[in-house]
Parts: sequence; C-alpha cells; structure tokens
Amino acid sequence: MANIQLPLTYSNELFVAREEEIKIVMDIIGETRSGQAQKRTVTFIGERGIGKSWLLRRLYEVIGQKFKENVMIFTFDLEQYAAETPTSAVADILTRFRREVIGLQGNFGASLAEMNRTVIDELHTRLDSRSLLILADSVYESGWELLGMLEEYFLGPLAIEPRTVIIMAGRGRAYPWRTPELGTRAIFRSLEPFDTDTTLEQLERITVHDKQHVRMELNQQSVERLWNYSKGNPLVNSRLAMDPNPEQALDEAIKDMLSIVEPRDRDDVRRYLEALCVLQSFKEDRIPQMLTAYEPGQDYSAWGYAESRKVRELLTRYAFARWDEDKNGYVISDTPREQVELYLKSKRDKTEWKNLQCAAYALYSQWAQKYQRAQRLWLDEAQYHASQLEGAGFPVEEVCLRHEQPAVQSASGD
Amino acid sequence: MKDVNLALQTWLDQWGFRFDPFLPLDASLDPHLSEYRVDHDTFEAVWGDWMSFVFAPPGGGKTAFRVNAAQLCWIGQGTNRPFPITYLPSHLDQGGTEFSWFDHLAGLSGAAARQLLLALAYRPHWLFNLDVSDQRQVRQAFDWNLPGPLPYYLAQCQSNASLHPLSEAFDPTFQLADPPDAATLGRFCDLLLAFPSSRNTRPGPAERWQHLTGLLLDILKFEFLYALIDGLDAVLETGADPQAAVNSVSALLDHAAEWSRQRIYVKGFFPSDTRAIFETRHRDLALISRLVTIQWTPVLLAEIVRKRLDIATDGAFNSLNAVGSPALPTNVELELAQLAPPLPREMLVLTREVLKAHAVRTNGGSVLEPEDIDLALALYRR
Repeated sequence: MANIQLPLTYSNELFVAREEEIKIVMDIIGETRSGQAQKRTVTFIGERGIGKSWLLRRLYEVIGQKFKENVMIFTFDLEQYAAETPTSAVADILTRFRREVIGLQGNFGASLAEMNRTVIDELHTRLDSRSLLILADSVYESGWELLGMLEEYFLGPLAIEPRTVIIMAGRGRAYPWRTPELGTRAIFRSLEPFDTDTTLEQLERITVHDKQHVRMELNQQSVERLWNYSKGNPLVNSRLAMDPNPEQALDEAIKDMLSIVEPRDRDDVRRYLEALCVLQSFKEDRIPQMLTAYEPGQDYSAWGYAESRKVRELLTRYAFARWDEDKNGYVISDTPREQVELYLKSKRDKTEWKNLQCAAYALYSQWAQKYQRAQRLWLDEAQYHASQLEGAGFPVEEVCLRHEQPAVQSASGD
Repeated sequence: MKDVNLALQTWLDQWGFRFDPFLPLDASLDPHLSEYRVDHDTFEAVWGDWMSFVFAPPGGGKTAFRVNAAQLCWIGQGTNRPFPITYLPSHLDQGGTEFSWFDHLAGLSGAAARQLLLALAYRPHWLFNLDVSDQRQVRQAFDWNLPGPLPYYLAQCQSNASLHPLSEAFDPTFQLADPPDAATLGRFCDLLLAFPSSRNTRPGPAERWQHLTGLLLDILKFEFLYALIDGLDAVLETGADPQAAVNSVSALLDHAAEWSRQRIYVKGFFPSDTRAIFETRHRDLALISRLVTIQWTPVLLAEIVRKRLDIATDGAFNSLNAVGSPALPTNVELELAQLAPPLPREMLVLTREVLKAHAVRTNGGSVLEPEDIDLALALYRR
C-alpha cells in the first residue's frame, strides 16, 4: 500500500462542497462591514473527519483573498493546547493575537484580565475601519475550564465588538456560553456527510492530486458501494478509497478516528466503542452485559455503577458519546458508531456482532418482563435488536443462545 | 435533616455533581444563574437596547431574568456595555405605595451609585484611567447618592482586604472574575478618599440623577443604562394589590419614553396581574416596548431541570434518567413538570424532593427508582 498519511494535508485543489457554509460566513462578513449583522458568530459542528478544519482553512483562504486588507484574520486550534493549563493556553492565545493581529510584542500584563484589557484597547486603535475574523478549531472537544477562561478573557470581549466575526468548529457537547453573541445569538450548523456525487468528486480530485491514493475504479456504482461503508464521511471516504478490503479499510478508518485519543486510552476506547456500538443508547446499567458479550472469556458481572461509569466517562471525555434526551441515554456519535458496527459486520463470521446483538436482545427482553412501568420501551428495544439480526439473515431463535444478565451492583451493594 | 443532607451530598458526589443544582431557590443568591438560561423568547425580549416589561407571578422567574440581564452587562473588561441599575423601590419597605418622580430619581440614583461603587471596586482601572477632574466627579457621585458616607464602605474593604463586605451590603449577586489584589484595592480606596467630601453640597434628586447619568454615559462611556425595576410583589401592599403596584412606579414610567431617547432604557419585571393595568395606564409606553408574560409550560420547566443538571455535571448528562434505573419512565423531568405548578421555584423544590427521597431511602445509594418519585410527590403534596 502507498505510504500515504491521513488525513490529507489541506489543498485548495482537494476542497469540495460546503458552498452554503462558505456563503453564510461571507454574507456575515459583508453585513458586519456595513454594520447590519444581526448574528456574528457561527459554530460548525460535526464528527471527526467531516471536514471542519478544512472548512476553516478554506474560509481563511477565500476571505483573505476577497477582503484582503479589510479583514484581519486570526486562527487558533485548541487541540494544540491540550497539554497546557487553561491559564497558560489563554495567555498564549492572547500573546499570539497581539503579535499577529495588533503587531506588538513584549510584556502586556501580569494577569489574563490585564492582558485582555491591553489587547482590547490596542485592538480599537489598530482595527480602524477593518473587521476582525476569528477562526477557532477544536472548540467543543476542549474542557469546560479552558472554555470558561477563553470566554472570559478572549472570545467574550471580542464577541461583543461590533466588527468581529467569530467562526468556531468542534465536535461533542455544546458549551453553554454566557455571552449571548456566542451562544443564543449565534448560528449553529451541522456539517453533513457527502452524498455519493460529492464523494465521487472528492475522490476524483484526490486522484488528480495523487494517482496512487485511490486504488479503485471511480464510477457511480463503485462509489455507491464505498459510500455504504463510509456514509459520506470525507476522511473515511479517502481511507476506503485506499484499500479495497472493507474490513482492513474500516479498521484503519477507526484508527484514524481514534488518533485524537491519548495513546494510553486508545485500546480501551476502541474496546468500549465496539462493545457498545450496536446499542441505540446506553447507560451504566448496560455496560457489564455488553462487555461480557464482547469478551466472552471475561466476566463483568461483578461490576458496579462505579466501574461502568468509568467506561461512560472515558467515552464522553473524548466526545465519542454524549447524553441524548430523546434517546433517554448516552449515544455514541454517528460516524464512530456506524464505522465500528460496519467493521464488526464486515468480518467474515460476524461472531462479535451477533453476540452483541443477542446480548442486547436478551437484556431488553428481561427488562421488559421485570420493569412493567417501562415495558413498552424495553420491548421496542428488544425488537430493534431482533430486527437487526433478522435483517442480516440471523433469526433470533437460532443465533441467540441464552445470555446471562449480570445485575449491575450499586456502589452501596444494592 | 442533617442526615438527609449528608446522604444527598454523598449521592451528588458519587455522580460527579460539582454542586447541588437545585439550591438556592432564591435566584438572586445563585452564583450559577447566568449559566442556566432557558426560555430564549423571554430573554430575547429583555436583552437589548429597548424598553421591555416581563410579567410573571411570584416564583415565576422574573428575578432570574433580571439578575441574568444585569450579569450579562459585565462581560469583558471594558465599559462598552450597558450599565445595569437594579432598582427595587425601597420606599415599598417603608409602607408607602404612592411615589413621586423625585422619589424615584432619588431611589434610582442611590441604586446606581451602589452599583457603580461595586463596579469600580472590581474594575479599578476604569477609575485610574480617568483624569483628576473626572475622578472628582466620581467621588461626588458617591457622596451625593450612597446611603452612608463613602469612607465607611471603603474602610470595610480595606480592613478586610476584600470586596466581600461591599458585595454583601449592596448586591450578593454581583460577582465578577478577577477582583483586585489588596494593593490595587488599597490604591483605589486611597484615590477616592483623597478627594474632599461633597456630602454637604448634596443637591436635589433631579440634579443628582443628571450628574450620575452624565458620569456613566459621557465620562465612563457606558453605552446605555438599563433601569431594571423589580420587587413589586415583595411587599404586601403592592404584592396583593396590582393597581397599587402599578401606581407605585407610574411616575417613573411616565418618563420612560423620554429616557429611551437619552440611552436610558427601563426594563420592568412585574407581577403578572399588573399587565392589564399597566397596558391601560401606560398605553403609549406599552406600544413602543416589548412585553412578554412568562409562560412556564411543562417543556420549559423540564428544561430548567435539564439545564441545571448539565451545568452541575459539566455536561456529562442533563436528565435524571441518566441516574435512574431501567424501571424509571422516560423523560422523568417532563413527568415531574406535568405534575408541578407552572412555576420554576416549585419545579426545583419538587425535583429536589425526589433526590432527597432517594437519599433517605438508600442512604446515598445509586440510582433513582420510581418509588423515589412517588414518595417525593406524596411529601410535596402534603
């Protein structure tokens, strides 16, 4: 296989789609310059690999070209500050901003508050009649302590400046900004996966850029087959185009997705994603059952809520899962969930996938009998898993052996 | 009671709560209030450079919106924001209900001076950056409008090396990041104390108000002034008599339209039973203002609980179902909201009863069960 690094490095020639998103931002810049902008913050939300960082980069190029000297642009990526303390990270961002936008260096404050005051005062002088564009990446993946400080000393004061436009990108749970301009009066937009036509265009451009990357014939049918695995995630598209073997390609795609996880946690996150991927939602009470089904040689029946909570916290910490009030549980984000489940299903015998579906079916069937007040809910869940098995050609009565359902021990031993 | 609270705290700690999100019940004492914002329609009516009037019954969220609006004025380190004047007509405490325009000017000036002293104490650079003659104007505004001598308040701050006495005395909800260190606080106090007192030359209410608004808008350069009027249902005379409530502020409201042309916007937070009287008595004002009556639907009440869970757990979850057994019905908050009176305070009380019931039943054990809800409802309705 060609030694190609993913994700691909941004290039204007490789960029496709997102015309609507670009137009939204360009319109806001125009309105800001004429003093008519009602909303000056846009947040793009989406899974890893959906193209958030590429979109920010594209905006940087396009706006820089169109507005030239009339818009000052500052970019930062919070992922680069993951190892720093929040205070140090915000101080660094303020220092960079002062250097790159205002053009000044040297000591400008002993505290974040003082640094912020200096920067805002200097900005008023420097900005003149120009507008300011902030492009901030990896926002929602960051801890709330950092975001709180960032709002207090950088984004909040800038957001209230009438000629500032702020574009943020992130995945995971939205941060509850206090500043209305960042929160309730901002535009939130999910980046959608590519459809098959856009996928084809993406891969064609990659081929022009590097013939060795795409190892498949590009036509509507082949792209539709690829799309059935990738679901249109651009990063996964490019991964699957490199390797015609779905199991291998999906395995590598999952590794791409997990590259943001600290190495010491990566194996565990993978295990937990695979163990829980068949569930529409989960809570701590389902985790021991699913882990036991995923690792038949292990017994998690003695796990209490405390142990199960660590699994949930690990997945939510890396923004692979979040609480969903409609699903009444934690949900694994769409792309990782789809990729992981497809990976398990792409294996020749599908044993792991069948075991997991059966475990879920057995658990929910038992709950439907035990919890009368919520019986309908658990019957529906059990039926979902039965239909998943039957849809794949595995009748429940034939494939599902009796599963033991370990009762989750409470922390107090109830 | 002590055991219940301990068991509840144990349970909250177990599930990763940073604090108890259902206390305090008094919005004006809640340090996390600005993080909980729900009901964006009402918020959009309140927050902006226009006159607005929010109507709700006691416990219906008026104070929460008022406090939230005031807190939003303090974003950033500059004065390019509105300046909030929280006006709880103090004359109501003295048993009166009919007040003149000058009574209100005096009350508003006092409220503004207290707010300004707090603001400048937290942001002393605003004072340091003024020239001497403008600093003298600030001293004069305090001498003319604070309820007691300025040295008295500053002495408490200096002896405590903290702004806590000032916040406690004037406004416990006033909490800004980065209070000044002891040296800066000392410098702030010394600067103000260096000017001679003007208390003996105190003019009438109209002149004091004009001086103060000029100081805020033209010298300190706040963009606008928001006069946030609240507290009409805090005393019996106006709380039980909506006509008296409207009458008590009518002299002020008669000038609201004129003020809006001077960058001063009146924002009222009034009892719901005053709306019809207000719209009749101040018809022209009502036509040019944004009016909203807060309607607490079960969906919104459930959202209050969810928002608090979200903030208290740093985003880990926003539903009691996350800490409930499989036996719990889905959407527990909505079920509770449909049983609670349509008031945020009552929703918080009921929700906390569920947690207390669980804590008592299990001595701080793990997951909520349907019997916790049943027991809480029984206790709540008693």
